[in-house]
Amino acid sequence: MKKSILILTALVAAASAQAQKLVIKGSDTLGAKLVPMLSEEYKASHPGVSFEIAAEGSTTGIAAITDGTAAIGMSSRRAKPTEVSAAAAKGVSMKPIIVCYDGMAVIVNEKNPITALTKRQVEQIFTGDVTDWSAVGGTPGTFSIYTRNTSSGTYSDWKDLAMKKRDYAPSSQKMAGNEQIAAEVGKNPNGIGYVGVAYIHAPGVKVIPIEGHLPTKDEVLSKKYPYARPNFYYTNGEPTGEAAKFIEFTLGTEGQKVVEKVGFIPVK
Amino acid sequence: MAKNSLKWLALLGGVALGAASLAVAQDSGPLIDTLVKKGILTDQEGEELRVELLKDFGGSPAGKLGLSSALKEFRISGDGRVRYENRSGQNDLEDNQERARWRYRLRFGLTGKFGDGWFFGTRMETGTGNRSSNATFGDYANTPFGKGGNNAINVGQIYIGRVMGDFTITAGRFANPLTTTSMVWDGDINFEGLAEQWKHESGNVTWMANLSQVIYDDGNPENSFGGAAQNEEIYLLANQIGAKIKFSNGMALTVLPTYYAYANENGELTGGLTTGVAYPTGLSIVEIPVELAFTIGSLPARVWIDYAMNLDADERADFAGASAFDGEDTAYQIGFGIGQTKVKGDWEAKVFWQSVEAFALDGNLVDSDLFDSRTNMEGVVLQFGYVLSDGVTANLTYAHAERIEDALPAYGAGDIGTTALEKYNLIQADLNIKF
Repeated sequence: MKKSILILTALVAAASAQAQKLVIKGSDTLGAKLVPMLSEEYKASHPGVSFEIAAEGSTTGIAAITDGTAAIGMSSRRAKPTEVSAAAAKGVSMKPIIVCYDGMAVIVNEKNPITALTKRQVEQIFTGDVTDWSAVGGTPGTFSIYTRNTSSGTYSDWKDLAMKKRDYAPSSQKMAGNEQIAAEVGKNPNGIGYVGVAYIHAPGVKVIPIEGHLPTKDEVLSKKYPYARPNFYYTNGEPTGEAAKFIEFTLGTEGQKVVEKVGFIPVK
Repeated sequence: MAKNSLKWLALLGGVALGAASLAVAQDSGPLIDTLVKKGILTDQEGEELRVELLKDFGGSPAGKLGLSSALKEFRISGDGRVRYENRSGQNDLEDNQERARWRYRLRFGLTGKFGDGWFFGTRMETGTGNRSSNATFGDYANTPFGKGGNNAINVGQIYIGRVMGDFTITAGRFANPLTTTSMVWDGDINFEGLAEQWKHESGNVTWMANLSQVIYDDGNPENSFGGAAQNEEIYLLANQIGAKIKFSNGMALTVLPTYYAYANENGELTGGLTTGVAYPTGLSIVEIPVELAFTIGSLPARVWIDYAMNLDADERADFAGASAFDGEDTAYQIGFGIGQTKVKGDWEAKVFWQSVEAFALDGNLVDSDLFDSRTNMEGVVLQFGYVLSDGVTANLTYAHAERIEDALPAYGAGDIGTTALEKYNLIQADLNIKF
């Protein structure tokens, strides 16, 4: 009898070790490529761990920490004051951890003759102050503006960094992710959009320098590129358990190599 | 070592910032950015500090105030007033009636802006009348220190609007959008309906148009069963267009001709011209307000004239049973003002003469204080204001008026209980706060 109980206990312990699942939700910018690749690398050295990754926008990542439905929330933007206070009201202490940097690149179709834009011109284009490429020195043609959807951290970061918090042009089209924006701009000669640096090598697009600055590693880390930003993991207080180990892995040498490989800018 | 000291100094500064002025916590981003740029804080420390400040702010009384994230701007404002007033009138028998009272007024509102130019406003106010938000001390039906009546809070304004470039459209119950004077409009009246405003600057000229379509009185029901009476809304269409011209010497001239037209003017209202609310019968008014602003020394000053004529005065005279007096169709106010009441120590003085013939204006709308809501009166008004402290102002008003045409009543119904009002005097002393 004693032997049976011991075997059963060992089986339960083994099963729970096998069932170690890390739930990560949030940003499409991080969750489309980077975090899945990090999770694969991590699993290679931690075979008992599985991952559930949902990349539906930064807002969902921060909400998931508040609701306790994820161990790690991915976010390409900072938590808003209302989100921090909503979390605090539920006893959740929002903790930001910078995992990489990004430069939001302005992309146009590769056939577009435009070679440079100013910050003012970018603001005018995305707010609808100007509607035609001829207004910024291009070939006449109405802008086709591609933006992220409203649950995206990139959507709100772009408003803050590039549009002086003004509203997007009514004609702008909302896309589900960076890849969709790059794909549409690549097909449309009048297209313009913004994507993270990990997506600038999509076919048919080119990156436009902003007042002479491109979203390179040096320009982003030195904060010379105007649309640079950190990307985050959010946790409820100091991370613990498997989440802490995965964050340590992300910030470690191996993880940061993956960051660079995917196209983001490492924290060190 | 020096760098570490600076870092702690910055962190302590940030915490002190949060503790001493929690409202500033949400605006501390630029400071943290600067500390990060200078290398005093790392990016990670900066982000942690941001969140800590937000948490501190969220725990403060101000941080617990929850506002919709859709709001781009939100404002709480209002005013309060304590007044001593004495108004007296003499009838054609040289008998006098006097009314002295202490009064108070409270108005407070919430206004805000959303994206795409949308805005809203609300204002709650004491008083039940359309031309007054005052409540009178002790006026509670023989109940000392009572409540109710004019003491109750009512909805003064509720409106929604949108700004689209030079155009603004507003719907609901809102402040009078017209450029006018107290001769034509009591300042307490709020419009109910629609207003469209256009303002366009071109060089030294600002072109303006204020159009409004308001419901003067609701018809109920519009269609009845059987042969019962049918009712219609009475509409007032008040439209003005004009310009403000700025001259190189600092002077500015504003002219905004206005036309008032009434639709279904007999509607449901039942009163004659000597009752509290009269039919707006026989009213088709042209008003031309003109103001010239300039400076005397360092003080702003202005002269103005507001001229109005009722084009249907003959019809109104007929309605009043005074056909022979159909020429009583003109009103004007001419005045001079100097000074301003913006900050502590400011003062302003105004003097104007006003003459309103019997059938010149809509007696339901004229100022209820200065000439006791009457037409067929003319006289002088003196006003002085002094700012005791920012947001606290003392005001004095004196008015004296006499009947213009003795063969006609002083039309309208004010606080002095006679239409045979020969002479009228008003003294008001106010203490105002504005927040």
